[in-house]
Amino acid sequence: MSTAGRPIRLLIVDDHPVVPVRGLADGLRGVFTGDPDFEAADGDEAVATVERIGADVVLMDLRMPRMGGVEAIARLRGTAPSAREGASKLFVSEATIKTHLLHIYDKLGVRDRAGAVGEAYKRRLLP
Amino acid sequence: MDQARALARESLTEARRSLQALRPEPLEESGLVEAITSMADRWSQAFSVPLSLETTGEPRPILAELEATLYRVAQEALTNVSKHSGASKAGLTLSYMDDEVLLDVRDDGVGFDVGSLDGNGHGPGGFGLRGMRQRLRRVAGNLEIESAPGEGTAINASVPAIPAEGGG
Repeated sequence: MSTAGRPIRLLIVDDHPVVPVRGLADGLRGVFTGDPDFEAADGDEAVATVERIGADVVLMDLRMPRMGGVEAIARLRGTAPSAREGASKLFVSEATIKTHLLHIYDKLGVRDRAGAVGEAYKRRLLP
Repeated sequence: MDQARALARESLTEARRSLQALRPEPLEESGLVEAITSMADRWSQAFSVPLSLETTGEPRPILAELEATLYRVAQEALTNVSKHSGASKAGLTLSYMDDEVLLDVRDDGVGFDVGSLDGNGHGPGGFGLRGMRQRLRRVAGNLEIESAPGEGTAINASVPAIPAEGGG
């Protein structure tokens, strides 16, 4: 399997790096041939890695410290604006964006954006 | 005894009067949203800077002193925009949340280096920021200043959403 003659680059993102990821990487090595896969330990790192060296396929754990998987995926797809971008678009302060986010987390009983998205799906607040 | 009563009554009247003097007049006649809207409209016309005004959440009367503080801060922030920013547009947002009320004043003007301010909002870009911060601190509020050269300025004022006395 290859794209444009080069191996598919696989990124595995998991905050428990030792056993499962190694096993997963080894197992997938047969599918994604000849590829030195690379790994990231959280969403932040995943976004940085993809921005730095790119990836064709990303396998993402959802629950991770710092930036969770849902938010990282949204970032990678370019659909999740930062507080700064949101503030600029809505022409308000970042402080207001952050306050609203904190209130939303509080009401949903979650700690971060990924949790909020997950909870919103669970409660069918999102289609 | 009568004299004492008269004196007491007099000083009460006096105290009420001086409290009223602290309250911006437009707030005497209307709620905070209306008062800020008409003030901001006048500002926009006077300086020919288009201003978008938005309210989110459920506007409700909050303690007079808090409303007065937000009104004054809005006024001072807009004065800064017209005096210093060279902005081509401005935005004012009032956000009524469960536990606090936020006021944002944002412009697309020249901005400044927030790092040049000291802890009191003093410095080359200090302007009236220190006064605003002090006003807000007096009512357990807070002021955030966000700016960078060339990127406009946003101020965010927050006060606790304490309901007006008498249920508003």
